[in-house]
Amino acid sequence: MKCLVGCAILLLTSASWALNLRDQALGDACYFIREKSDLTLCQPTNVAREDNEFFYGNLFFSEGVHQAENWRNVIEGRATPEQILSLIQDNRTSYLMSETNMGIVGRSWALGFKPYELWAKTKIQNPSNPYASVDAGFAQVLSLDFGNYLNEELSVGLKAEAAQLKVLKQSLFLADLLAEGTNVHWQPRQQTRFALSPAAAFEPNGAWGRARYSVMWKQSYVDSTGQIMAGVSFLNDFSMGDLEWGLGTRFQESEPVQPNLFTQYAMGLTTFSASVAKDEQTYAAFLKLKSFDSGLSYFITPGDHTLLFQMGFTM
Amino acid sequence: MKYAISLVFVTFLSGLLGGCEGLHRSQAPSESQSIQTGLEMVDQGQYEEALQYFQGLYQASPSDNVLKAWASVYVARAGLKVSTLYEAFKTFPKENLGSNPESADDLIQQLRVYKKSLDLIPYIRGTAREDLQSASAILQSRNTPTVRVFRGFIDLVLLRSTFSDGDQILLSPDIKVSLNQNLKIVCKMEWRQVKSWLESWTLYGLELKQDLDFSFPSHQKDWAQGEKFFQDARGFSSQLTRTCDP
Repeated sequence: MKCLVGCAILLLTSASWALNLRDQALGDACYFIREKSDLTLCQPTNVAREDNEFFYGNLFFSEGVHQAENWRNVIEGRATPEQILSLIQDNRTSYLMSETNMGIVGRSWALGFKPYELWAKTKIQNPSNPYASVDAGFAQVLSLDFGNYLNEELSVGLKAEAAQLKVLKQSLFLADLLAEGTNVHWQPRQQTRFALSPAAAFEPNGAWGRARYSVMWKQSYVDSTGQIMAGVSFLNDFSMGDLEWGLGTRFQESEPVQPNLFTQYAMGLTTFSASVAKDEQTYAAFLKLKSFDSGLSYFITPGDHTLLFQMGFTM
Repeated sequence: MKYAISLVFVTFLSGLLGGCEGLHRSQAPSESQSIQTGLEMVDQGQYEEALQYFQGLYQASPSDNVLKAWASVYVARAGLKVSTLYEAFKTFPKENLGSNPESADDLIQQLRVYKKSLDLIPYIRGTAREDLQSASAILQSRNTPTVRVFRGFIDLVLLRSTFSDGDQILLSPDIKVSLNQNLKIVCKMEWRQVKSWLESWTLYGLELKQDLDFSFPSHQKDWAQGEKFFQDARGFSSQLTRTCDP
């Protein structure tokens, strides 16, 4: 049985690494938390919980955002070898992310548009002759979410995304860029992709801690590969706020399975969240003032860390 | 019913855990992943393991990138950084050379111009130099621009180091007098040492010229004068042999 399930997963998944700021802001917790921050919309079953209709707009960016335009030139194939060198020669692993999104959320549906999503991850090894692995891209994404309760306890959802992409994946020794004619390899792959991500959540009545089990097949619109997000969350109400916590896992081929502990505490205008796995930790704080939201997220991976900033509104 | 669904969920989780753990290792790694694995060893200072790893990888899949990774292990063990060498390389004189050093004055003057730039490049000796010689030797098997630009940096350090081995010879007041007036005076000195010194650094000079030709094919003629200089300086070595050991 285990092998059958494993084989089925192997057929459905393959290696992928794609950044998404909404994922990064809360870490994997974004897929399991039901009392979501207004800034996030990761799990399509969450829209089944919406009682109101609203419009939202968000801006996300990470440290190093001042280099966004230079990276855009690299992704568009316009950068010279010298410009590429100047971006990635600081001998450290780094992330750059920037995104704007907007959309309408209705009762059991949501329509979203990302006119600008840019990511650039560089990993540098071997300082004596630096070897850089670059994963960068630019995307414009249209998304449609549906979510509905099948009965009082079971809800299902589907996220459909269409993306126009320019993706650049390249590994090379930086010294290669000094040789004549080597910039020809820095041509982006341009494509249109579609992704479908179904999800289900089960909230048994009267369960301890208002347990909610959720599972989602998350397909990446960057390379169409997928991963399964599965977890359980518990929600406790206190006089001083709401505490949600739980355990989730991400399953992806070629990646070790990483259990992930998460928690979110909402108190008045502020929300704090933490998501901790062996190789990845995210800590975030959000502040909501009437229709405006802002947030700060600290993302830690082995050998690197980055700050994410968020601003948004709902109305 | 709800307990049944919860049970299915938990079973599903454990099935995934078992299935994925057992299967995710079966996919063959890409060349880039293989190189990253070897470079992890280098970053941790496990040079011997990394050398064996890349030698085996190159035998299994000979490619430019694996060859450069293999040579990189020697460069890392020698304690050199390509970025440092690149800065030094940019100051290397590309002019004021190439006039035929018919007189010893010309030769000494030109050597001193070189020396000023070479001093910016690390001087290495002992096992570190042996490591760089090994790196240079394995990179010689391929003539692609990216391999040769890397080899160019290594040969530049070898040129600088072998040249500086003879600092005492170059700075000796006797050498200029000897070269100008009577080459036979050198024969009374340690002429074989002078000859060996001339042969070693001019060899790396010519190797460097070859690296540059492959790295920058459209600039070959820019380096032609440098090549002539190294050949002429090498000519003194033959002249020494003819004079001192007729």
